[in-house]
Amino acid sequence: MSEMEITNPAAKQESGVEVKIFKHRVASRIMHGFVAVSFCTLLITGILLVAGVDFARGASAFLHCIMGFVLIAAPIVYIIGCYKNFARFMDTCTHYDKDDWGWVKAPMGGYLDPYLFRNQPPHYVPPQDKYNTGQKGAGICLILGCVVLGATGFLMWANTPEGIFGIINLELGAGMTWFLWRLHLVTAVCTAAVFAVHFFLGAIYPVTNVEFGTMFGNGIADYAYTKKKHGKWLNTLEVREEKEVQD
Amino acid sequence: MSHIERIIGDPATITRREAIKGAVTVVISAILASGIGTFAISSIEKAKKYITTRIGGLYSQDAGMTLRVSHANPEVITLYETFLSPGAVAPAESELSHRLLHTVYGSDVEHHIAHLKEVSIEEAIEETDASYLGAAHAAE
Repeated sequence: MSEMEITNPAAKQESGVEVKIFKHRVASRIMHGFVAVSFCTLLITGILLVAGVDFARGASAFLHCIMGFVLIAAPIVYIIGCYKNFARFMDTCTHYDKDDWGWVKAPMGGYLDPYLFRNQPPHYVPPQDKYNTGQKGAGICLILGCVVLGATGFLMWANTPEGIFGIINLELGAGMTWFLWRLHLVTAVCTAAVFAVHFFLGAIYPVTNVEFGTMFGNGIADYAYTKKKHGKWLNTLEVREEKEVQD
Repeated sequence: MSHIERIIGDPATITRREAIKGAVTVVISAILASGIGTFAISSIEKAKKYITTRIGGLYSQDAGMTLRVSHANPEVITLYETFLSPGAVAPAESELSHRLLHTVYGSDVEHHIAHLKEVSIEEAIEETDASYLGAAHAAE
Protein backbone atom coordinates (compact mmCIF):
# COMPACT_ATOMS: atom_id res chain seq x y z
CA MET A 1 0.00 0.00 0.00
CA SER A 2 1.40 3.35 -1.01
CA GLU A 3 0.62 6.29 1.20
CA MET A 4 -0.85 9.41 -0.32
CA GLU A 5 0.41 12.86 0.57
CA ILE A 6 -2.20 14.58 2.73
CA THR A 7 -2.85 18.02 1.31
CA ASN A 8 -6.09 18.64 3.22
CA PRO A 9 -5.21 21.18 5.98
CA ALA A 10 -7.98 19.78 8.21
CA ALA A 11 -6.52 16.28 8.05
CA LYS A 12 -2.85 17.18 8.49
CA GLN A 13 -1.18 16.17 11.67
CA GLU A 14 0.50 19.13 13.34
CA SER A 15 2.29 19.70 16.58
CA GLY A 16 -0.18 20.26 19.42
CA VAL A 17 -3.13 19.00 17.36
CA GLU A 18 -4.66 15.57 17.78
CA VAL A 19 -6.64 14.62 14.69
CA LYS A 20 -9.49 12.17 15.20
CA ILE A 21 -11.21 10.73 12.15
CA PHE A 22 -14.92 10.21 12.67
CA LYS A 23 -15.62 7.43 10.17
CA HIS A 24 -18.94 5.88 11.13
CA ARG A 25 -21.88 7.78 12.66
CA VAL A 26 -23.92 6.30 15.50
CA ALA A 27 -26.87 5.55 13.21
CA SER A 28 -24.60 3.75 10.74
CA ARG A 29 -23.05 1.67 13.51
CA ILE A 30 -26.42 0.72 15.00
CA MET A 31 -27.81 -0.22 11.57
CA HIS A 32 -24.65 -2.21 10.80
CA GLY A 33 -24.97 -3.97 14.16
CA PHE A 34 -28.58 -4.98 13.48
CA VAL A 35 -27.66 -6.19 9.99
CA ALA A 36 -24.62 -8.13 11.26
CA VAL A 37 -26.53 -9.88 14.07
CA SER A 38 -29.55 -10.66 11.88
CA PHE A 39 -27.37 -11.89 8.98
CA CYS A 40 -25.37 -14.23 11.25
CA THR A 41 -28.58 -15.57 12.81
CA LEU A 42 -30.12 -16.04 9.37
CA LEU A 43 -27.03 -17.87 8.19
CA ILE A 44 -27.10 -20.29 11.14
CA THR A 45 -30.86 -20.93 11.07
CA GLY A 46 -30.76 -21.16 7.27
CA ILE A 47 -28.07 -23.85 7.40
CA LEU A 48 -30.11 -25.74 10.03
CA LEU A 49 -33.21 -25.57 7.81
CA VAL A 50 -31.36 -26.62 4.64
CA ALA A 51 -29.61 -29.44 6.49
CA GLY A 52 -33.01 -30.66 7.68
CA VAL A 53 -32.04 -30.71 11.35
CA ASP A 54 -35.24 -31.68 13.12
CA PHE A 55 -34.17 -30.23 16.47
CA ALA A 56 -36.19 -27.05 17.11
CA ARG A 57 -37.15 -26.85 13.43
CA GLY A 58 -40.20 -24.71 14.12
CA ALA A 59 -38.18 -22.31 16.29
CA SER A 60 -35.44 -22.08 13.65
CA ALA A 61 -37.97 -21.29 10.92
CA PHE A 62 -39.71 -18.65 13.06
CA LEU A 63 -36.38 -17.04 14.06
CA HIS A 64 -35.30 -17.10 10.40
CA CYS A 65 -38.43 -15.18 9.38
CA ILE A 66 -38.15 -12.63 12.21
CA MET A 67 -34.45 -11.99 11.58
CA GLY A 68 -35.19 -11.68 7.87
CA PHE A 69 -37.60 -8.89 8.76
CA VAL A 70 -34.87 -7.21 10.87
CA LEU A 71 -32.33 -7.55 8.04
CA ILE A 72 -34.61 -5.63 5.69
CA ALA A 73 -36.22 -3.24 8.21
CA ALA A 74 -32.96 -1.92 9.72
CA PRO A 75 -31.57 -0.53 6.41
CA ILE A 76 -35.00 0.86 5.45
CA VAL A 77 -35.21 2.78 8.74
CA TYR A 78 -31.61 3.92 8.21
CA ILE A 79 -32.31 5.12 4.66
CA ILE A 80 -35.34 7.10 5.84
CA GLY A 81 -33.64 8.53 8.92
CA CYS A 82 -30.13 9.09 7.56
CA TYR A 83 -30.58 9.56 3.85
CA LYS A 84 -27.47 11.73 3.53
CA ASN A 85 -25.22 9.01 4.89
CA PHE A 86 -26.87 6.38 2.75
CA ALA A 87 -26.60 8.53 -0.38
CA ARG A 88 -22.94 9.24 0.29
CA PHE A 89 -22.29 5.54 0.85
CA MET A 90 -23.97 4.64 -2.42
CA ASP A 91 -22.05 7.34 -4.27
CA THR A 92 -18.79 5.90 -2.95
CA CYS A 93 -19.82 2.33 -3.76
CA THR A 94 -20.80 3.16 -7.33
CA HIS A 95 -17.88 5.45 -8.18
CA TYR A 96 -15.01 3.72 -9.90
CA ASP A 97 -11.92 5.28 -11.49
CA LYS A 98 -8.35 4.37 -12.47
CA ASP A 99 -7.40 3.97 -8.80
CA ASP A 100 -9.93 1.18 -8.49
CA TRP A 101 -8.51 -0.54 -11.54
CA GLY A 102 -5.08 -0.12 -9.94
CA TRP A 103 -6.41 -1.73 -6.75
CA VAL A 104 -7.61 -4.74 -8.75
CA LYS A 105 -4.29 -5.01 -10.61
CA ALA A 106 -2.30 -4.77 -7.33
CA PRO A 107 -3.63 -7.66 -7.17
CA MET A 108 -6.78 -7.13 -5.14
CA GLY A 109 -5.33 -4.28 -3.11
CA GLY A 110 -2.15 -6.26 -2.47
CA TYR A 111 -4.01 -8.88 -0.44
CA LEU A 112 -3.04 -11.58 -2.93
CA ASP A 113 0.57 -10.40 -3.30
CA PRO A 114 1.95 -12.86 -0.71
CA TYR A 115 0.25 -15.77 -2.49
CA LEU A 116 0.64 -14.89 -6.17
CA PHE A 117 3.97 -13.02 -6.15
CA ARG A 118 5.92 -14.60 -3.34
CA ASN A 119 9.41 -13.17 -2.66
CA GLN A 120 8.79 -10.20 -4.94
CA PRO A 121 8.43 -6.52 -4.04
CA PRO A 122 4.78 -5.59 -3.29
CA HIS A 123 2.73 -3.95 -6.00
CA TYR A 124 1.76 -0.29 -5.93
CA VAL A 125 -1.74 0.17 -4.57
CA PRO A 126 -3.34 3.49 -5.52
CA PRO A 127 -4.88 5.59 -2.71
CA GLN A 128 -8.44 4.61 -1.92
CA ASP A 129 -11.66 6.36 -0.99
CA LYS A 130 -13.56 5.82 2.29
CA TYR A 131 -14.05 2.25 1.10
CA ASN A 132 -11.57 0.43 -1.14
CA THR A 133 -12.60 -1.23 -4.40
CA GLY A 134 -13.28 -4.56 -2.74
CA GLN A 135 -15.42 -2.98 -0.04
CA LYS A 136 -17.38 -1.06 -2.69
CA GLY A 137 -18.06 -4.25 -4.65
CA ALA A 138 -18.99 -6.10 -1.48
CA GLY A 139 -21.38 -3.29 -0.51
CA ILE A 140 -23.23 -3.50 -3.84
CA CYS A 141 -23.31 -7.32 -3.76
CA LEU A 142 -24.66 -7.38 -0.20
CA ILE A 143 -27.34 -4.78 -0.95
CA LEU A 144 -28.55 -6.56 -4.09
CA GLY A 145 -28.26 -9.94 -2.38
CA CYS A 146 -30.30 -8.81 0.60
CA VAL A 147 -32.98 -7.33 -1.67
CA VAL A 148 -33.35 -10.66 -3.52
CA LEU A 149 -33.21 -12.64 -0.25
CA GLY A 150 -35.81 -10.32 1.29
CA ALA A 151 -38.19 -10.56 -1.68
CA THR A 152 -37.94 -14.34 -2.08
CA GLY A 153 -38.01 -14.88 1.69
CA PHE A 154 -41.13 -12.73 2.06
CA LEU A 155 -42.88 -14.72 -0.68
CA MET A 156 -41.85 -18.05 0.84
CA TRP A 157 -43.03 -16.93 4.30
CA ALA A 158 -46.37 -15.83 2.85
CA ASN A 159 -46.55 -19.16 1.02
CA THR A 160 -46.57 -21.18 4.27
CA PRO A 161 -49.93 -22.60 5.43
CA GLU A 162 -50.12 -19.99 8.24
CA GLY A 163 -48.87 -17.14 6.03
CA ILE A 164 -47.30 -14.09 7.65
CA PHE A 165 -49.07 -14.11 11.04
CA GLY A 166 -52.27 -14.99 9.17
CA ILE A 167 -52.34 -11.51 7.58
CA ILE A 168 -50.69 -12.20 4.23
CA ASN A 169 -51.21 -15.62 2.73
CA LEU A 170 -50.26 -16.71 -0.77
CA GLU A 171 -50.61 -19.97 -2.65
CA LEU A 172 -47.76 -20.09 -5.12
CA GLY A 173 -47.90 -23.72 -6.16
CA ALA A 174 -45.18 -26.34 -6.18
CA GLY A 175 -43.23 -25.06 -9.21
CA MET A 176 -42.99 -21.44 -8.09
CA THR A 177 -42.15 -22.52 -4.53
CA TRP A 178 -39.31 -24.62 -5.93
CA PHE A 179 -38.06 -21.71 -8.06
CA LEU A 180 -38.18 -19.21 -5.17
CA TRP A 181 -36.47 -21.66 -2.83
CA ARG A 182 -33.65 -22.27 -5.33
CA LEU A 183 -33.21 -18.54 -6.04
CA HIS A 184 -33.15 -17.86 -2.28
CA LEU A 185 -30.57 -20.60 -1.72
CA VAL A 186 -28.24 -19.58 -4.55
CA THR A 187 -28.41 -15.90 -3.54
CA ALA A 188 -27.80 -16.84 0.10
CA VAL A 189 -24.70 -18.86 -0.82
CA CYS A 190 -23.30 -15.98 -2.94
CA THR A 191 -24.11 -13.37 -0.29
CA ALA A 192 -22.65 -15.54 2.47
CA ALA A 193 -19.42 -15.89 0.46
CA VAL A 194 -19.12 -12.10 0.17
CA PHE A 195 -19.99 -11.74 3.85
CA ALA A 196 -17.31 -14.29 4.79
CA VAL A 197 -14.60 -12.27 3.00
CA HIS A 198 -15.96 -9.03 4.50
CA PHE A 199 -15.93 -10.54 8.00
CA PHE A 200 -12.47 -12.07 7.61
CA LEU A 201 -10.85 -8.84 6.40
CA GLY A 202 -12.74 -6.61 8.82
CA ALA A 203 -12.48 -8.67 11.98
CA ILE A 204 -9.77 -11.31 11.67
CA TYR A 205 -7.03 -10.37 9.17
CA PRO A 206 -4.30 -8.72 11.31
CA VAL A 207 -3.53 -5.92 8.85
CA THR A 208 -7.12 -4.69 8.57
CA ASN A 209 -8.97 -5.88 11.68
CA VAL A 210 -8.66 -2.40 13.16
CA GLU A 211 -11.82 -1.69 11.11
CA PHE A 212 -13.80 -3.94 13.46
CA GLY A 213 -13.04 -1.69 16.44
CA THR A 214 -14.03 1.37 14.44
CA MET A 215 -17.39 -0.06 13.34
CA PHE A 216 -18.35 -1.74 16.61
CA GLY A 217 -16.66 0.86 18.82
CA ASN A 218 -16.92 4.65 18.85
CA GLY A 219 -16.65 5.16 15.09
CA ILE A 220 -13.23 6.84 15.33
CA ALA A 221 -10.74 5.46 12.81
CA ASP A 222 -7.03 5.01 13.39
CA TYR A 223 -5.14 7.90 11.73
CA ALA A 224 -2.13 5.93 10.50
CA TYR A 225 -4.33 3.17 9.10
CA THR A 226 -6.64 5.63 7.37
CA LYS A 227 -3.73 7.58 5.91
CA LYS A 228 -2.26 4.38 4.56
CA LYS A 229 -5.43 2.71 3.32
CA HIS A 230 -7.89 5.54 2.62
CA GLY A 231 -5.70 8.55 1.85
CA LYS A 232 -7.99 9.76 -0.93
CA TRP A 233 -10.89 9.98 1.50
CA LEU A 234 -8.76 11.66 4.16
CA ASN A 235 -8.11 14.52 1.74
CA THR A 236 -11.84 15.24 1.45
CA LEU A 237 -12.74 15.44 5.16
CA GLU A 238 -13.87 18.57 6.95
CA VAL A 239 -13.47 19.74 10.50
CA ARG A 240 -16.54 18.70 12.52
CA GLU A 241 -15.40 19.80 15.94
CA GLU A 242 -12.34 21.41 17.41
CA LYS A 243 -11.69 21.95 21.10
CA GLU A 244 -8.89 22.44 23.55
CA VAL A 245 -8.38 19.54 25.91
CA GLN A 246 -6.08 19.11 28.87
CA ASP A 247 -3.26 16.57 28.54
CA MET B 1 -0.55 21.64 29.29
CA SER B 2 -3.27 21.34 26.73
CA HIS B 3 -3.64 20.44 23.10
CA ILE B 4 -6.19 20.85 20.35
CA GLU B 5 -8.46 17.89 19.62
CA ARG B 6 -9.77 18.10 16.10
CA ILE B 7 -12.49 15.76 14.93
CA ILE B 8 -12.76 15.47 11.17
CA GLY B 9 -15.42 13.65 9.17
CA ASP B 10 -17.49 13.58 6.04
CA PRO B 11 -18.95 16.92 4.92
CA ALA B 12 -22.29 17.74 6.57
CA THR B 13 -24.05 18.19 3.23
CA ILE B 14 -24.29 15.90 0.25
CA THR B 15 -23.88 16.73 -3.40
CA ARG B 16 -26.62 16.42 -6.00
CA ARG B 17 -24.85 13.41 -7.49
CA GLU B 18 -24.83 11.65 -4.13
CA ALA B 19 -28.52 12.40 -3.58
CA ILE B 20 -29.41 11.06 -7.02
CA LYS B 21 -27.34 7.89 -6.58
CA GLY B 22 -29.04 7.22 -3.25
CA ALA B 23 -32.45 7.64 -4.82
CA VAL B 24 -31.52 5.47 -7.81
CA THR B 25 -30.39 2.70 -5.46
CA VAL B 26 -33.70 2.82 -3.59
CA VAL B 27 -35.64 2.76 -6.88
CA ILE B 28 -33.58 -0.13 -8.31
CA SER B 29 -34.00 -2.10 -5.08
CA ALA B 30 -37.74 -1.47 -5.06
CA ILE B 31 -38.05 -2.48 -8.73
CA LEU B 32 -35.99 -5.65 -8.14
CA ALA B 33 -38.00 -6.69 -5.08
CA SER B 34 -41.40 -5.86 -6.55
CA GLY B 35 -40.34 -7.46 -9.86
CA ILE B 36 -39.66 -10.77 -8.13
CA GLY B 37 -42.97 -10.52 -6.27
CA THR B 38 -44.93 -9.55 -9.37
CA PHE B 39 -43.31 -12.32 -11.41
CA ALA B 40 -44.14 -14.95 -8.77
CA ILE B 41 -47.73 -13.86 -8.17
CA SER B 42 -48.62 -13.10 -11.82
CA SER B 43 -47.13 -16.44 -12.96
CA ILE B 44 -49.32 -18.29 -10.50
CA GLU B 45 -52.36 -16.24 -11.52
CA LYS B 46 -51.66 -17.10 -15.17
CA ALA B 47 -51.26 -20.78 -14.28
CA LYS B 48 -54.51 -20.78 -12.29
CA LYS B 49 -56.32 -19.02 -15.16
CA TYR B 50 -54.98 -21.59 -17.64
CA ILE B 51 -55.99 -24.50 -15.40
CA THR B 52 -59.50 -23.05 -14.94
CA THR B 53 -59.88 -22.56 -18.70
CA ARG B 54 -58.56 -26.07 -19.35
CA ILE B 55 -60.99 -27.58 -16.83
CA GLY B 56 -63.86 -25.65 -18.45
CA GLY B 57 -62.77 -26.88 -21.89
CA LEU B 58 -62.63 -30.51 -20.77
CA TYR B 59 -66.05 -30.31 -19.10
CA SER B 60 -67.70 -28.65 -22.12
CA GLN B 61 -66.09 -31.19 -24.46
CA ASP B 62 -67.28 -34.00 -22.22
CA ALA B 63 -70.84 -32.60 -22.16
CA GLY B 64 -70.98 -32.88 -25.98
CA MET B 65 -69.85 -36.51 -26.10
CA THR B 66 -72.33 -39.28 -27.02
CA LEU B 67 -70.76 -41.77 -24.65
CA ARG B 68 -69.90 -40.13 -21.34
CA VAL B 69 -69.66 -43.07 -18.94
CA SER B 70 -67.92 -46.42 -19.37
CA HIS B 71 -70.80 -48.54 -18.05
CA ALA B 72 -73.03 -47.26 -20.91
CA ASN B 73 -70.44 -48.02 -23.59
CA PRO B 74 -71.79 -50.84 -25.88
CA GLU B 75 -68.29 -52.16 -26.52
CA VAL B 76 -67.59 -52.52 -22.81
CA ILE B 77 -70.99 -54.17 -22.28
CA THR B 78 -70.26 -56.60 -25.12
CA LEU B 79 -66.82 -57.35 -23.68
CA TYR B 80 -68.40 -58.33 -20.36
CA GLU B 81 -71.26 -60.29 -21.94
CA THR B 82 -69.00 -62.32 -24.23
CA PHE B 83 -65.78 -62.73 -22.32
CA LEU B 84 -65.29 -61.23 -18.88
CA SER B 85 -68.56 -62.46 -17.36
CA PRO B 86 -70.24 -64.52 -20.12
CA GLY B 87 -73.96 -63.99 -20.37
CA ALA B 88 -73.98 -61.15 -17.87
CA VAL B 89 -72.58 -57.68 -17.24
CA ALA B 90 -70.91 -58.15 -13.89
CA PRO B 91 -67.94 -55.81 -13.45
CA ALA B 92 -65.63 -56.54 -10.54
CA GLU B 93 -67.24 -59.87 -9.84
CA SER B 94 -65.65 -62.43 -12.17
CA GLU B 95 -62.13 -63.75 -11.58
CA LEU B 96 -61.21 -62.89 -15.17
CA SER B 97 -62.22 -59.24 -14.97
CA HIS B 98 -60.48 -59.00 -11.62
CA ARG B 99 -57.34 -60.48 -13.07
CA LEU B 100 -57.23 -58.51 -16.34
CA LEU B 101 -58.64 -55.14 -15.38
CA HIS B 102 -57.92 -54.51 -11.74
CA THR B 103 -54.71 -53.30 -10.16
CA VAL B 104 -53.49 -52.00 -6.84
CA TYR B 105 -50.96 -49.36 -5.70
CA GLY B 106 -48.50 -48.87 -2.92
CA SER B 107 -47.85 -51.54 -0.33
CA ASP B 108 -50.55 -53.86 -1.76
CA VAL B 109 -48.61 -54.47 -4.99
CA GLU B 110 -46.59 -57.43 -3.70
CA HIS B 111 -49.69 -59.11 -2.30
CA HIS B 112 -51.47 -58.56 -5.62
CA ILE B 113 -48.57 -60.07 -7.62
CA ALA B 114 -48.54 -63.10 -5.31
CA HIS B 115 -52.29 -63.53 -5.84
CA LEU B 116 -51.89 -63.31 -9.64
CA LYS B 117 -49.20 -66.00 -9.50
CA GLU B 118 -51.55 -68.27 -7.57
CA VAL B 119 -54.15 -68.36 -10.37
CA SER B 120 -53.07 -68.66 -14.04
CA ILE B 121 -55.02 -66.92 -16.80
CA GLU B 122 -56.28 -70.29 -18.07
CA GLU B 123 -57.58 -71.12 -14.60
CA ALA B 124 -59.24 -67.73 -14.38
CA ILE B 125 -61.01 -68.27 -17.74
CA GLU B 126 -62.16 -71.73 -16.66
CA GLU B 127 -63.38 -70.46 -13.33
CA THR B 128 -65.27 -67.59 -14.95
CA ASP B 129 -66.83 -69.81 -17.61
CA ALA B 130 -67.85 -72.36 -15.00
CA SER B 131 -69.31 -69.69 -12.84
CA TYR B 132 -71.34 -67.85 -15.49
CA LEU B 133 -71.93 -70.34 -18.27
CA GLY B 134 -72.59 -73.13 -15.71
CA ALA B 135 -75.15 -70.93 -14.01
CA ALA B 136 -76.78 -70.20 -17.38
CA HIS B 137 -76.99 -73.89 -18.29
CA ALA B 138 -78.43 -74.69 -14.88
CA ALA B 139 -81.05 -71.97 -15.36
CA GLU B 140 -82.05 -73.47 -18.69
